Amino acid sequence: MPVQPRDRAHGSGHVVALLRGYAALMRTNLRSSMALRVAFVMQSVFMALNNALFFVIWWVLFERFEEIRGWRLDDFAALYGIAAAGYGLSVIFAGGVPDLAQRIEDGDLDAMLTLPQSVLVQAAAATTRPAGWGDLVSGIALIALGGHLSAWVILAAVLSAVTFTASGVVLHSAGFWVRRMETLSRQAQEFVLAFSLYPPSLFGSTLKLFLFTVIPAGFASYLPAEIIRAPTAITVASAVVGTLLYAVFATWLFARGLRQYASGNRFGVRQ
Amino acid sequence: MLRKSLAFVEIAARQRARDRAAIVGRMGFYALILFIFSRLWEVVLARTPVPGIDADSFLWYLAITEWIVLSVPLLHLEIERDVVRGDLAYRLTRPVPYPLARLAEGFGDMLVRMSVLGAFGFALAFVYTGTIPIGPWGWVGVAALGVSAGALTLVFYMTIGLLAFWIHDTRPVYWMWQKASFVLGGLIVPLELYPDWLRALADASPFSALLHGPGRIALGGPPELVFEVAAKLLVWSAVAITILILVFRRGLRSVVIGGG
Repeated sequence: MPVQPRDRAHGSGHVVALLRGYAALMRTNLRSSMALRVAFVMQSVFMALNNALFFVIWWVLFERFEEIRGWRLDDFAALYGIAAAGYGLSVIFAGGVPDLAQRIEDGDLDAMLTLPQSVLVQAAAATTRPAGWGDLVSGIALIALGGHLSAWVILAAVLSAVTFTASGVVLHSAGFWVRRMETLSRQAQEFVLAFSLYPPSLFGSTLKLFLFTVIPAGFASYLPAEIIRAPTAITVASAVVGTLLYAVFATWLFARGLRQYASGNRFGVRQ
Repeated sequence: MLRKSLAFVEIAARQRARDRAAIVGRMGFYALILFIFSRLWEVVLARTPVPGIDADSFLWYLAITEWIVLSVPLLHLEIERDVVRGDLAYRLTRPVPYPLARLAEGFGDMLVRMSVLGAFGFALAFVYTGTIPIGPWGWVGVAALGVSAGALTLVFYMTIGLLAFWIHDTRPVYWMWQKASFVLGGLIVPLELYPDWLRALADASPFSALLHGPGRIALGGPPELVFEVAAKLLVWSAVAITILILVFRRGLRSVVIGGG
C-alpha cells in the first residue's frame, strides 16, 4: 500500500517539536544503553583500544618514513581522530541509520509512519551504539596526542558526524528503490569511513572530486581535519556549507524515497 | 565423520556461491585498499626506499594478506547467535559434533570467498603493478599457507563466538582480536619494517604466521620459508584447537546447569 509520508518541516513550531521528540527518544536510548553497564563499558573501552591498536600501524609507518606527501604523524592523528570522533558521535546520536536499509526492506517503517514525528528522525534515533563513546573518546585523545586540541574540535567533530549520518541516510535510502540493499549499503558506508582515514594528499584531483561528492570523505574528515590543523575562514565556510548541503540532499532523498515506500504486512507494537 | 564434515563444507560453499552480495562488497573494499596502498607505497618509497623491496612487492604482499583477512567469514557472529538464541540446543543432537559442523560450514564458505577474491585481487595487483613477483612454487605456497591460515583463523573466531556463553556480545573481543592480528600480523606494513621490540612481540604471537607468513612469499623469502610458516601454523593450530575444546566443554557445562 503506498503511503503518504509526512517528512517535511513546516515552520519553526514544527522544528521545535521535532527537536523535542528527538531529545526524548535519545534520552530513552541513552538510559537503556547505559542500563546494561557491563556491555556498555565493554563496547566503549574495547572500541577505544581497537582504534588505539589500529593507530599503531600508522605509527610504525610514520616512524619509518616520517612523512607521506607532507603529512606527518601528528597530522594523521588529527585526521584519524576527527574521523573517529565524528563517526562516534554519529552512531551515538543517529545509531539507527546503519539499520535503515534493513528497516525499509522489512517494512519496519510502518509503525513510525503512524506517529506524528518525522520518520527519518525516528529511524535515526531508534537506537544508540555504545561503541560510539569509545570512538569519540579515542578520537579526541588522538587529536590531543597530535597537539591539535582546541575549541575548533567541537565544530569539526559535529560537521564530521553530520556528514557520516547524511551519507548513511543517502546510501541506505537506496533501499527504497532497490531490494535487499542492506549488505551493500552497510559496505558502502564502510567505504566512506575507509576513505576518510587516509591522507587526501595520496589522491589525484579527479578522485578528490569524487571524495567531495559521491563518497563524501572530504566533508567527513579532510575538511574537519583542516579546521583543527590550521583553521581559515575559507576552510570553515567550505566545510559548513558543504556539510549542510549534503545533509539537505540526504533529507530530500529520504523524503523522496519514502514516497516509494510500500507498507509491509506485519503487525507489531512500537514501544 | 570426514564424509559428513565434507558434506557441510559442500553445502556451505553452494550457499555462499548463490548469495553473492557479501562477496561483491568485499571485492569493492579489496579494490579500494589495493588502490590506496598502491598510491601510498609509490609515494613513500620514492622518498625513502627500502633496500631489496620495491613498491610492487609491497602491493603483492598486501594483496595476499588482505586476501586472507577478507576471505574468512565472521563465524563468531553465527556461533554467538546459536548460543544466545538457544539454537545450539537442537544442533547438539545432530550426528556431527557442533564445533566440527560449524567449522566445516565456515571452511566451505571461506573456500568460495578465497577463490573469487583471490582471482579478483591478484588480477588487480597485476593490473596495478604490471608484474608478478611470485613463481609457480611460490603460488603453491601462497595457496597452501593462505587456506591453512584461514582455517586456523576460523578456529579462533569460533572460540570468540563461544565466549557468548558468558559475555553475550562477543563483538568487542572480536574487534580486539582483529586489530591485534592487523598490527602483529603485519597486515598493511610488513614486519620487516617494524621496530625490533614490536617484531619480537609479533613473532611470539600466532598472527605473524597467519598473515605475514604467507605474505612474505611476495617479498622474496627463501623457499624453506613455506615449511617454516607451515610448522608454525601447525603448532598454533594445536594450541587453538585445544583452547576451543576447553572453552566449548566449559560452556556446555553452563548450558546443562542453566537448563539449556
